[in-house]
Amino acid sequence: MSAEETDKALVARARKGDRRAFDLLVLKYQHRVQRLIARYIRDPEQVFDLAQETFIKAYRALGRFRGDSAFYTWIYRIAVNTAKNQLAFDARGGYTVSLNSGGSDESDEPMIEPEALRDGGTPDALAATDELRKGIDQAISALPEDLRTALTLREMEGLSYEEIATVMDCPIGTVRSRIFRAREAIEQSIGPLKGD
Amino acid sequence: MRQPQANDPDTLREAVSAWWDDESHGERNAIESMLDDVDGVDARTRHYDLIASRIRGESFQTRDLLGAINARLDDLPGDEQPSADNVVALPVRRWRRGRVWQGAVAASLFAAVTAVGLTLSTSDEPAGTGIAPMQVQGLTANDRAVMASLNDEAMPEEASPAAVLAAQSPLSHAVPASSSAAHAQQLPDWATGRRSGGADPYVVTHYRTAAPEFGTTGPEARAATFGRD
Repeated sequence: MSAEETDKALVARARKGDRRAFDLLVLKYQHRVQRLIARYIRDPEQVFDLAQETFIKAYRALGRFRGDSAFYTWIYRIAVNTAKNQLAFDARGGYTVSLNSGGSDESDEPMIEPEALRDGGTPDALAATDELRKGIDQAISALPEDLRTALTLREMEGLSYEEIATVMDCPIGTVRSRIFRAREAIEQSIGPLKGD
Repeated sequence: MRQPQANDPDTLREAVSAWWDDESHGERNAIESMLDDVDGVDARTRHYDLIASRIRGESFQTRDLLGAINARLDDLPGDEQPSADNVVALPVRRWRRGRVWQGAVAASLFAAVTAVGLTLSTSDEPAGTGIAPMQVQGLTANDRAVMASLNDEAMPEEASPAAVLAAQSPLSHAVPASSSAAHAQQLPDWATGRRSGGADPYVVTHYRTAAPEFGTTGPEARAATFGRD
């Protein structure tokens, strides 16, 4: 069963009322959807709200998902339309709170950390975020070379397992294992920082 | 290749990692296990996203989107919950609905046509009653005068079209379409064998077409040479 077929199977279960199946779809695509919306909307709070809206719309429209296209293209389309609708609303004078309004709209600065913003940007929250960032950096640096390369090619370059296997001249199964082990090692490293 | 086992934690976590990367293949057991441990998958993918965000230099998205979505979904009315019953009609279904509608129209048309046909065929009145297959039209005053004389009708004092028309019923302009006994009396004399009959309206009507050289001056001669004698 391919990834696309897995998604369709989850959609089919969600349509029958299995909320856990829809939960898995949310977990898989929530970060991608938020990143996609963030390309249109700069306000992280609004991005979060629009991501919610995207999945609510998708859930209500699951009955209309015929499977002609992949689920991710369908949900991406909903996300883009939701973001564009918000932009159009804003352009008509709709009132929105832009926490990034102080900066230039054309800048490519990364979004402000939502956690820090929600907590009022307190020194403690900012310090915790900074500590988490450093912890991840250290964990990545401590990875064996083959694990770090596999993970970096995946996350930084967006290569598929097959492409990474070609680059690293190893079987796809090995790539899969290396990426998994790299994540496990980092997770164990940052666990205490996250309070897990 | 070792097949994933649902009860193998390491294998399951590796399957989650691959699934999150869109690289899972043929792992139904792993999906079933993930469905049974959504919270565990949630925690694991949060970590994966933190790592990915840091590698890419992006901001952290650590808010509980799934929890917020589920809170809103719980408030959705029942009729907005997706289910097989709420599936919007597929094109096939719409096509079937259209076929039913077209069938009903076709059946109604067929019934209407059949009813009209039966009514006409079972009517006591002979066919052609009230119907004038060939109407004498465009008659000149001279035509009407000729018709009046040939039909043994009283010659109007003035052979004006108005006078002729007033003396004739509308049916007199029709060519008899039935040879039934009821209509035998309406047939021209030459058709029934009676000698006292007048001119055939067909001849009178069409003589110009049949023999235009006679013009308006020779209808009697035209009628006389039409073979009735």
